[in-house]
Amino acid sequence: MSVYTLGVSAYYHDSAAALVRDGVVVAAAQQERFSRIRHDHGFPGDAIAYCLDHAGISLDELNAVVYYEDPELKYDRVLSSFAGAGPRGLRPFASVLPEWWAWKRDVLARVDAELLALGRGTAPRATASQHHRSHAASAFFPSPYENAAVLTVDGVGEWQTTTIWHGRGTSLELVNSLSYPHSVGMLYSAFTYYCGFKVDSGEYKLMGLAPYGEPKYADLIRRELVHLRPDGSFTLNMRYFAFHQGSRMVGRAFEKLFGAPVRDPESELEQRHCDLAASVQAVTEEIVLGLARAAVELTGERRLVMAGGVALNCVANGVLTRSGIVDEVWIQPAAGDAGCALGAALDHSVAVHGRPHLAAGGDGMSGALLGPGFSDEEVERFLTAGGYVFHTYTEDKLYDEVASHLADGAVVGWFQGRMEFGPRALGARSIIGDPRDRDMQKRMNLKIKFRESFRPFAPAVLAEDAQDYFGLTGDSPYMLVVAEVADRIKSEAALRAGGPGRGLGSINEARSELPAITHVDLSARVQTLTERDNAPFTRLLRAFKAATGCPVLVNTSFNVRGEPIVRTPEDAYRCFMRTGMDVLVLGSHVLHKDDQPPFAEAGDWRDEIPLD
Amino acid sequence: MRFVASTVFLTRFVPVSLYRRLRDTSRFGARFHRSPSAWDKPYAVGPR
Repeated sequence: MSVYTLGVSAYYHDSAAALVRDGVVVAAAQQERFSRIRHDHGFPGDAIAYCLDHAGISLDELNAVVYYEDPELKYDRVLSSFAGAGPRGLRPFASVLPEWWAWKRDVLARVDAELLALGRGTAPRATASQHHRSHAASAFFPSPYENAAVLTVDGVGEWQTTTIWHGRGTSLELVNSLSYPHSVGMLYSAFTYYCGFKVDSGEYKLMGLAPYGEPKYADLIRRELVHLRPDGSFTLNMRYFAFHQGSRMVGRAFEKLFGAPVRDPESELEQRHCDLAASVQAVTEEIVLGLARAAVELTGERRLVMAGGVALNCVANGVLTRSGIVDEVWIQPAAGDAGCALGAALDHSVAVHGRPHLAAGGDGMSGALLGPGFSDEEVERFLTAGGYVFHTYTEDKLYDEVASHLADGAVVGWFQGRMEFGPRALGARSIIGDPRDRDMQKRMNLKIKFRESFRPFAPAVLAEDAQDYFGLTGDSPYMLVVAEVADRIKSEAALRAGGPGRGLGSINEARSELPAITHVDLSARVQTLTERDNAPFTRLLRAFKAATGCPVLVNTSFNVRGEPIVRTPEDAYRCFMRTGMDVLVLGSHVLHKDDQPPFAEAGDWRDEIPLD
Repeated sequence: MRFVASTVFLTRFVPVSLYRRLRDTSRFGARFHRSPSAWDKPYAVGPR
């Protein structure tokens, strides 16, 4: 009889559920995809219901429910944080603590009650793991390595902000850690906040902004804000930060140090914001390299696995893979807190069932395609009921048909198979286009995604062709590594300049043969594709290559700015009709925008979706 | 609850905070920022 373990992360941000059967991850999903609230922090009831339905079980059949962190340890840190805050902490203390006294200290009882309220039977009592142990388990247990050094880096869990573990077989041993408030995640979030972006969501915008700037403030950051040690550890100078005192991330001293107040969200970006982004990015890369060096030194392993929000900094990941500090790196695709649900469940399960994926080779993430899927029959029922016009193709015709539209310049909504788990669209819920098109980046940013024009798009490339186009040192199946585009596709102007163009004025310059995916610093956040990771998307790429000679597509998430990635055919159709996409592919069914009946909504949908 | 929380904060937390600040014994203070290592355990290389 199979043994099931449910992992739950909730009540902070990116709530999620994951179900493990006999040591194998069978389903995982973020609650935001169901509730349509970005980074939803509520109880992931819908995600749990999906996991149970996918496995065809009730709560009675679960062997264990594991919550991703320890509420008592977290409470201890919250109290200590206020003890370090001084009189300024009064207002936040008075608003935060009653919540802790009311239910957060006893969060496991709340999880039990919410599970019971699902009406799907009675689950075993929830137990607690620890935040960074959940991250570490999510990185090591599904990795393709028998043994590895494990590095987790994020804002903060209970106390820990950074941990190094030694993973051996089914054992995971804590080697060392750094504790709050000394956190590279908090450092990066402080600059995210200072540059006018939302904390816990705008960090990737800061990363995208960095190549437009020069690291002019990096020395100032090293001198005043961060003390880096030769042993890889670091501290923050808390004179400049305010995240321990309440709702602000930085104090007046920080604003004085950089000579200006916090940027108003949505106000115009200036060159100094780009320079600040470049500076904190440079320091972050230095910290990550130091931590990786420490992880190798402390464990003696040459393979590194990573998780935690900072592991989503794919520019730093790229620097790490090229540094020679480690031989191989594997990063959990759901590296943020959603992945903790998966880690908590796996940690409980592997002790008994081992790591069955190791025998088959490769990792245990099934290409991160662990979310809900819809059959062609289900899609057809939806399309017919709505009166939408569609054409159905057999598999061998579908890829050629879509590839020809892409080659003609169409922007295509691509909805296939099971949804991705984690923040990246990997070809199951993606918007795709021709990267050779000079106007594609601008068009996708402004007319489809409705987001800032400086933000780059990522390429998906056939793994066997990746080296011809990008300077990768290995595969990047989860789009978590940034690499420079190959010299042979760089534009003459870029080669003549001998390096990247800088400044916001260079946004629309064509820097390579693939201008839509080449960032201003000649880099790209690459996804390499194989049949094993995602067969339909790989076959589409092959068809596009056959039609055009180009084995690369633009791949961006199927959503608009501020909206979670689409989950259902209905979400996809709505997004398709609201935006400038030309073609929608739902399984084997292809829809053309011009054929569709008039689409009317009450009010402007842009008012419904808060900006991220 | 907010009143209780405010009272607890003013009577317990502010004195502790001021004491720690005065003695510079907190992880938030300058002394920790200048310490030779920030790892929670001694940095020991070699077989464990």
